[in-house]
Amino acid sequence: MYNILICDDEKDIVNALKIYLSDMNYTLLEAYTGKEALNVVSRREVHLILMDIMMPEMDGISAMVKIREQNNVPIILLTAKGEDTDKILGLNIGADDYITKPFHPVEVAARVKSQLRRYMQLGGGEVKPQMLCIGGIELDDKAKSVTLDGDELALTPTEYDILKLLMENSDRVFSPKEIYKRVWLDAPLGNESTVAVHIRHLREKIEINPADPRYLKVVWGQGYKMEKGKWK
Amino acid sequence: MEMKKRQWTHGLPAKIFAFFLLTIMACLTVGSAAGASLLMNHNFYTKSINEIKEDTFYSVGHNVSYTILRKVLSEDVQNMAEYCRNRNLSAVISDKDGRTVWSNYSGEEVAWKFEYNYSEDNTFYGTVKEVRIFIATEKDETTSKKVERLMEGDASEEDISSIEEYTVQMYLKDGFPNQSEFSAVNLLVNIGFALRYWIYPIGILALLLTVGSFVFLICNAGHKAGQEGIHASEVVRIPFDLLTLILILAVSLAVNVTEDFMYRDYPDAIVIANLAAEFMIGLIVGTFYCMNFAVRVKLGSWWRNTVIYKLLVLFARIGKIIGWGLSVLLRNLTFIWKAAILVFVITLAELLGIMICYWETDNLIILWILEKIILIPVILYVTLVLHRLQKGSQAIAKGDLSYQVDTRFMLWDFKQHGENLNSIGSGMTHAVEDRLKSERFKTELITNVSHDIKTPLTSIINYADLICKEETENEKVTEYAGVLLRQSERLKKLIENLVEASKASTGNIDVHLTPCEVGVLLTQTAGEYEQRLRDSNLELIIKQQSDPVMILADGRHIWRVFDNLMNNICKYAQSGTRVYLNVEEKGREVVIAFKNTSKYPLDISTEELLERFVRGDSSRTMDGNGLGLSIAQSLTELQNGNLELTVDADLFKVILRFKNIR
Repeated sequence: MYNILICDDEKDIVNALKIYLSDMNYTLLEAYTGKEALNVVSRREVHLILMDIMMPEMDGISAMVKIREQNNVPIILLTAKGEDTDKILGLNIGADDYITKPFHPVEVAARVKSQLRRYMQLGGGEVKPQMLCIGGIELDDKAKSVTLDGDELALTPTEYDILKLLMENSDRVFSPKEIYKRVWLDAPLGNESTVAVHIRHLREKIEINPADPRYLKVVWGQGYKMEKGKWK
Repeated sequence: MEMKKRQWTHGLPAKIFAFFLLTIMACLTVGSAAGASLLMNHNFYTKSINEIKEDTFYSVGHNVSYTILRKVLSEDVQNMAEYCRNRNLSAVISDKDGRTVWSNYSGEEVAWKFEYNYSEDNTFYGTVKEVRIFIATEKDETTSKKVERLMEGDASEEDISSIEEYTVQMYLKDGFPNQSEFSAVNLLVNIGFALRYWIYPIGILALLLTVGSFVFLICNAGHKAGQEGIHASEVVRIPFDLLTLILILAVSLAVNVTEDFMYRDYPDAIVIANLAAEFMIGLIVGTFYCMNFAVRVKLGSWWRNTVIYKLLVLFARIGKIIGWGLSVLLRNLTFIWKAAILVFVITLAELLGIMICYWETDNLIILWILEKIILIPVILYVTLVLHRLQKGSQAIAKGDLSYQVDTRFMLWDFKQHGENLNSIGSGMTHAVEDRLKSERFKTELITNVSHDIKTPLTSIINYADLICKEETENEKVTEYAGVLLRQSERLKKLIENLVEASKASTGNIDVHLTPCEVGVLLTQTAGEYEQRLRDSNLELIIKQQSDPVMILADGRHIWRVFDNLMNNICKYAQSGTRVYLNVEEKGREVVIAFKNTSKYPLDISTEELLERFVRGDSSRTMDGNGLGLSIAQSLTELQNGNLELTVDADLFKVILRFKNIR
């Protein structure tokens, strides 16, 4: 049983989120301003916070800064401000994830689940030997298995090889040609687009929103990389 | 007390008294100065009174001895005795051999004894010849000729042989009778000797009083008893320099008259009286002149009432009028006319110079060099100014509107031109700034409004989704909710595109250009769109060179361009056709072409396709929003590229051009 705090000044949105998250066996707490959120956090144990940015009395960013002073609880920002600068600001100040409005309910549920698993079950980064680990993705080379936030992923052998290559060299950009050479062990003859297709499939499997990937990033005009970045 | 004093000093009697004091003390000052110098010359400070008297009596006695000799030689002895008696003296006259010629000396004791020697050599006392001449002229008219001869030094043998020498011995007793030369001299010497030390303090005191009364008069000039302020007399109305001129003329006239007196043999008394009168008049006139000047100074701006000042003012006024006229004329002349006049004047000057120095070629060369010395700096100045103006206009033409032409050292038309350029710059800068501000404002408005729209939209999407999932008997409810969901998703996309389009078209977006390999980009695009193309039953054919082609672009923005274009293709390409993606290097450009066959007839122009959202045409009835192409174009331009649309019947072509950086 996890306590999830939903904080948004729009009552309808809070209600909708409660409906979506209700069938997942969470205790749902509500707050309508940043101050209320701070109150709830001080009174009760909270395992995850969904927080809007633009709110009366105290905005989400200030509330988050206050909470972060003494609490490591995962915070997912939920906001209509979709610009890159807003996202970067939120993540730098202490958010764990960022969902832009209007959001897809399924996406919210998935992200909540992902954050809770990482926070509660995996305990934030105990790495077993022979395990490659980036964020919620764990690759066990002996078992040839990959898990995402604890869930086993069904990858094809090629997808597995590509993911392994990228995870072994995280933050390095591989061009499609290079990936082809390293995975297929053959010279590409104008068929690098196969790599791109595989990458897309891989992204669909490991990312909650493939159009806005967290792990497997596309560097347009150069190649692909697994971003360790903030997932250290 | 103070008031009373002022009134007393302003009164006429005080002034008159002061004036008299000034006059007397000035005379006294001059007199003591003259006396002091006289005393000094006669050794009054080094010798005793008897010695002084001896000296002076000897001098005076010379005249007397002359008279005695004359009288004796003219045998006027009767007169002679009386003459001696009157002066209380005795005399012995002897010739050159020591024989006594005449004597009335009885051998008694006397106070002073003088000897005068009359000979041809002793010119100091006069010669006997002169004495004889004097006698001759007095008594005998016929000897006048002889006298003339003697006077001219044209002496004959007979005359020379008759040259005689006489010695006059004079015995002077104390107790001079009145009216004798000696009694007057005696008195003067006595007074002089008594006053010989007193004369200095007296002189200094007189000088101080003179200066004091002068200062008093100057200070009180123009004041009247019982009245405030300065009261000018009529004389003040006369221009000061005119007054001065009149006085100078008067003084020079007086000096001329005096010189006349000096050179003619007027009696001493008349000369002295004349000098004294002149001194007095000069003193009075000078004092009045100074007082007059003082009044003028007190009235302020004394120089205003002068002929010179008035003339200068007049000239200045005339000069001003002429200058004004010339400047009006010059200002209203066009630049061409000014240049023409200048050239005409220079030519005229040259012609004049040539005419003057026609026969003197050396001078002509000097004149030519002089002209060049004057003209070269002028030409250089004009060139420099033109260069500056050119630089300014070039900068403004290039878009540097903040450029300011330095007009400090520019003159006339150049300055005006420079200032015009500056005001163009600042005017344009203002316009551009205003436009940028309003564009930024527009973008901000759109962004903020979109934030506000997104919140209710979130609820609409979520609840429509919830209705869809709700199990109901009425299938229509699910169907309608599905429409709601679909349309609200479209609205969401539209809002996102709107914000992006507004940012992209105003350039309000960060662009980080990095080298991008076009081949990789195409591969990635093909990979991303593989599924969707297959869904739309389209075949993608990529044609590119074997060498990698590099361009400078921002990865995320160029992907957005490709994404939008591919999205359009998936939506609007005729199912079952091929889509071509070509990359070519054309010189220094990289050309990327997207070609597809349209599903619908393309009966709108390419401009309308690109700008239909902006222009609000009726042609956006087609599915989807028309922003995709517009965003693609703006983003391409932000990355220094160029997007071109071509429509040829059903063939739809988008051509991107970027600079080749390989």
